[in-house]
Amino acid sequence: MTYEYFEHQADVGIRGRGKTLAEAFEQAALAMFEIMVETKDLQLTEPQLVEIEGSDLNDLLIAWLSELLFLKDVEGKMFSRFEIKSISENKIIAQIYGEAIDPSRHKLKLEVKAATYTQLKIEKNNKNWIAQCLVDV
Amino acid sequence: MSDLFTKVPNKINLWTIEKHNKMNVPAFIYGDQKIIDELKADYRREWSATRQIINVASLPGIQKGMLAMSDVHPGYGFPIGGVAAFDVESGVVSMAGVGYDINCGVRTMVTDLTKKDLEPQKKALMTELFQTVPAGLGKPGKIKLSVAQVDDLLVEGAPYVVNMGYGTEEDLEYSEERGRIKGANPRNVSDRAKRRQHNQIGTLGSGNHYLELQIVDRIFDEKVAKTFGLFQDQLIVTLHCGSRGLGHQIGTDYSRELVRTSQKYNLPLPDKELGSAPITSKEGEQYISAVNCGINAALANRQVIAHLVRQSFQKVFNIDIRQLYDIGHNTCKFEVHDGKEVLVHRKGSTRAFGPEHPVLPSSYRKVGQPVLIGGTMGTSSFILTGTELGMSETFGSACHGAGRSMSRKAAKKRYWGKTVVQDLANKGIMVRAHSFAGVAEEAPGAYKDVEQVVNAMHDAGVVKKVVQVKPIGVVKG
Repeated sequence: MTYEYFEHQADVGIRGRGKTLAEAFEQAALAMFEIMVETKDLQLTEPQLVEIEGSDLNDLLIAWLSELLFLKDVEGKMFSRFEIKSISENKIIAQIYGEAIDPSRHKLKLEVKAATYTQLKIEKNNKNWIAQCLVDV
Repeated sequence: MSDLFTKVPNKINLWTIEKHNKMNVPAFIYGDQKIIDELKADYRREWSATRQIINVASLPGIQKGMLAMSDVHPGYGFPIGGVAAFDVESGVVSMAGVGYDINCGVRTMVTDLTKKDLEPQKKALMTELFQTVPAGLGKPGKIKLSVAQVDDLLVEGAPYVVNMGYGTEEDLEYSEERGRIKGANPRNVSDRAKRRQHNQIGTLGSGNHYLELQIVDRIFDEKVAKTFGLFQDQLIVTLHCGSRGLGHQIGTDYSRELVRTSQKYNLPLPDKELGSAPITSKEGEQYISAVNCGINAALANRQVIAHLVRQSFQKVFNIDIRQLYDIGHNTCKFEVHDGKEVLVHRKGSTRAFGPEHPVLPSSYRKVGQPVLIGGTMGTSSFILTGTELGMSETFGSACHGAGRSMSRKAAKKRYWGKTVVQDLANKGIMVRAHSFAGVAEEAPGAYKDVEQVVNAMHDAGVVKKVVQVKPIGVVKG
């Protein structure tokens, strides 16, 4: 279970990998937050529960990442630990852990504006899942 | 693929891709030989700008031609530097043609100071600007708005914040749409988008957004420069930002919605990312109205920042500064061209209306609209003016900036933020940034040559160069 970035001229591609679909989604989320902050600096507080719905798996990945960006803005938080409790074609239930942004302790980097349908791909290769898309920065 | 692009006879820097396969119109691309060679070399890549140009030319109701400006590069379905106008009856509106940073744009303000006047106070002014203008990730603005107040702001645009004391009536006169576009109904914007806005009004953001002190370095057209109030060695200020979280959320909401709408109306989409709706459909009307809300939010955002910049100048120099113009470069707008109403998408493209256009402020009407082109930190920016040829060829549109030539990942690998800052300091450019990683990604070397991009459009006659400006101080997120 890991994540990586792939090249794009203007923006950044994120790719989560895992043995399960849930792990791939969790890693994609971590990849997205690592663009914005040194996630290792976050001191995690109480988890919060999120429930996301989508029309299919592709839509679900965009919905998942978009929800996290929404929470980042309205709660002024960064997240670095994602535990997907259940995932189906149309729904995710997850616990996420993060901390309120504190510029004195957190190394803040580049803001992600949105997760996009560009280069969006969710697939299983051999025994591993990948979940990827381009994010707008 | 060498014959995909044909040079248009008797034209300078204009190329065409003939209508083929599913294209409804040909494509027209502005660029010198080098720009075209780069597009050709990149064509085979799955997500190349050229493929996106061809895809957009295949959308229903597109008029005349899919246009690509000289700074064209791959975007989300729709190329950045792309312009596409659609018939209001048979055409579509596409979320990809506006993007996630609705009405991201540029505002330039001018001072009566020269480079020499600035020097002794430069550090003090930069410190003041860095402290006064909220920039960088997570930095809240000074104004907090409830959802109900956000509703009013979305309808009223920049005049809403001018009424709160942020700026003057004159600022509105020198903004696109006079600071407020009509047809903005906040009911078409989700509560989530409004909640993202509550403390983000008047914030610069991060990435390629900036606030720059610039010096007029070269004058190409004395007469127009004078009309715009520009002179040699003059200090001017330019800021670049958009509609922040609200615009990003509108983009996110409708990108998902319009993928479903495209299926509902059986729109022949060559790429899922081009999620569209018929302009006359309920969904199309809702999206256009939401975009108008985003346009107003961005106009208000730049209005507040402009006011903070003005306060900083008052504090350090005890002088007032005047607004030159405010333009957006991620929009779709109903406009009349050649006597016909069309919906013009400009994705990473600037409106560039020519002389005598009735929407221009009366003092600029004889010479055309100021067209503000952002360069990169270490190079230069340009102020151009629209032309009659641009009105007839590009729906009154031009390039918007340098356009990236290197991915962020590659830039970060190649440049180190602190070194970039030092290199710029050696050139007399003071950088104040909240993130050094951000600076590395925006390193001047990661962009195309802005002079080449601007010259390609100027030589084609779509715009006319007025002045070139050099940065001398940069505030980044």
